[in-house]
Amino acid sequence: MISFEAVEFGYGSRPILQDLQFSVPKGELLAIMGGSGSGKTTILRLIGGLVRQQRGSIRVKAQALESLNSEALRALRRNMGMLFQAGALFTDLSVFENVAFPLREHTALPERMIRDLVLMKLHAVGLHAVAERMPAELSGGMARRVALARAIALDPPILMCDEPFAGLDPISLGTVANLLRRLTKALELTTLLVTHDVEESMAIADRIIVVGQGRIMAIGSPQAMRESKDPFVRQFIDGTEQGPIAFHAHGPSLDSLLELGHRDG
Amino acid sequence: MAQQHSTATRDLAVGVFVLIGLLALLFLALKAGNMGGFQLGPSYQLRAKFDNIGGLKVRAPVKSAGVVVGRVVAIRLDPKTYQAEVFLSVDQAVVFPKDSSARILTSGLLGEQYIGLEAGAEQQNLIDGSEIKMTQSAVVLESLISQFLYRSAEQAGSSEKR
Amino acid sequence: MGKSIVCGLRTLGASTIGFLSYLGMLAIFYAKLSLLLWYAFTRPRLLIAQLHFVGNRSLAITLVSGLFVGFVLGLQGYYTLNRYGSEEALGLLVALSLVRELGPVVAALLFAGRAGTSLTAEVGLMKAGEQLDAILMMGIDPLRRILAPRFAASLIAMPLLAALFSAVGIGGGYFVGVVLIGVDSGAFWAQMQSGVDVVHDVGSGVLKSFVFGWICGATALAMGWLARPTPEGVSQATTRAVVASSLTVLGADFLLTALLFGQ
Repeated sequence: MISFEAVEFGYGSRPILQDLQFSVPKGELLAIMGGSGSGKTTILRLIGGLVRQQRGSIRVKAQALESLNSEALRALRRNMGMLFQAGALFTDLSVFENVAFPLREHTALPERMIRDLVLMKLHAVGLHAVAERMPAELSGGMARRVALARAIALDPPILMCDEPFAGLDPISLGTVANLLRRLTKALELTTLLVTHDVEESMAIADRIIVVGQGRIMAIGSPQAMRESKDPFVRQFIDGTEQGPIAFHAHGPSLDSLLELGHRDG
Repeated sequence: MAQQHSTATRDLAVGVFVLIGLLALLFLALKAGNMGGFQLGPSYQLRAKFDNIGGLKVRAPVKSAGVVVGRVVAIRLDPKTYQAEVFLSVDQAVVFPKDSSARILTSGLLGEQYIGLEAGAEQQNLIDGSEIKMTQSAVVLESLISQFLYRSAEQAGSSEKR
Repeated sequence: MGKSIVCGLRTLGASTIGFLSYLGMLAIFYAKLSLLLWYAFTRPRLLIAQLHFVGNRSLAITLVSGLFVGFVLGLQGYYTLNRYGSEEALGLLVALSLVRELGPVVAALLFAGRAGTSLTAEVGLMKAGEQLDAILMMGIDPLRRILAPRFAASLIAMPLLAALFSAVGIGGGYFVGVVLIGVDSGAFWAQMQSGVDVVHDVGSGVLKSFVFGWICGATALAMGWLARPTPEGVSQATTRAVVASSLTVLGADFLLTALLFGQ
């Protein structure tokens, strides 16, 4: 469904991602993990065509993104549903209107049919009762779920989620995680999940990619990750300070910066 | 359903806004501007030659006894006689005898200049394309002043002679 | 010493290039937005909603300001004309000032401050909340869906607001001049009607307000679109939008006046 071939991406001379090479088969739930700022979200934005890679080829449904013009890209995007980090619901529209939005824009279905579809999507995420509320009246978890309903409104074959678990309480977290797994299996979606929540992703993902230092450090099933000997993966899975990723950010040592107790002072 | 109700009121509000906006434009065009004036009925054309038209402009009114009966439609300089030739458009309902006169008058102190038609006494009337023979040019301030100075110089000179 | 001069020159050069490329980017954006105007008319529901947002909501401030400006014109105009014994031309003075200049310009400045900042803030906040990206990811062009209707609404609302401003202003001038001070009512209207030309004066005013609507609408939307997606970024963008719109309107007014009224 999706494949990356030797993809490189950066801003100017600063490379963010290099040597990206992997493919995602249909129906798989793939979790992309890594530290903050490792470029995980950028991978999603590359697939969505929001940013363009410097080198390499990205194929979605056998179409190479770099060869598409804006019209074709727009058409391809209808195959993708994206769940943004904070939901990105339209604040001036009600929950119902938000989920109905893609249906209204892309289809000419009669209102009654749209109404039924919207309620069904909301039901799938457990929220058909709040259809008339405004996004501002919802809790974080509920807003996230509404955004999920909107993302699958057109039944896209690909679902991309950017940090869907960030800032959620344990109950909402578990709910959203289970929802993602259920929907992926029930609708045969190809789901990509960007997160740094190790526990949840291990529980629901078919495969995990660990991204670090601009590269793919490891790809494998959750089981393979748990048993991995790679120090990078180990540090990530175990969540310790010791390991390839330093605690202290790069820079001059503290001694050289301190004013007091300076030898020459 | 609550959505539909607020959309209906909103549509109404926008409709009212656009309506009063257009009405304001109409008001400006009709009441404030000079559109409510002439140029609506059928008319015929007359010509008149002047030595000096002063500040007369195209679209200036043509009045008779103070009533607007027409408009100036064109002004050009006759290259042979070096006189200004003015073309007037006059309402067909009003006819003027052949010996009518045309003067260039000023409306008020700051007012613009217009053509005043005074009816003559002849039997025959002016028809489309005919020329008004009796004309009086605009009063030019400089000539007035020089006339005044000349006359007072004359008087001073003649009083000196005595 | 020499080094700092070179340094200063280098900064000057860099900022000039930066400024020019910013202008270039803006120009391309304005052109794109103008070309997409037609889309707004294929979605009348959206257009009407935006007309309400920029037009109806600006009505109050425009009408009240127009009234007060009319009052002042009536008063100041009377004092000045009275010196030359020409107070009967008050109607003409008030009408021409409003229809030719004050109506289009002041209404545009008010628009930039009220409706313009709302547009900038709205688009900027949508950008900050990833709503624009979400629309993009749904395979919809946000320029068409979000910006075009707002732009078209600005173009339509501006001349209407300017006309309302002028009309109310004339009423205000009438109230002060005729009702309060005692200028002859007949002369007020007669001089006005003979002196204000529909095509030349009212028409030029309408043309000006179209151009100003174009300027204010495009600038407000551009600043929101290009804002940095943070609270400070949006705030900066709204300020920049008002300042840029206002200055451009005043500059364009000079150019248009010279073009339209120059002999």
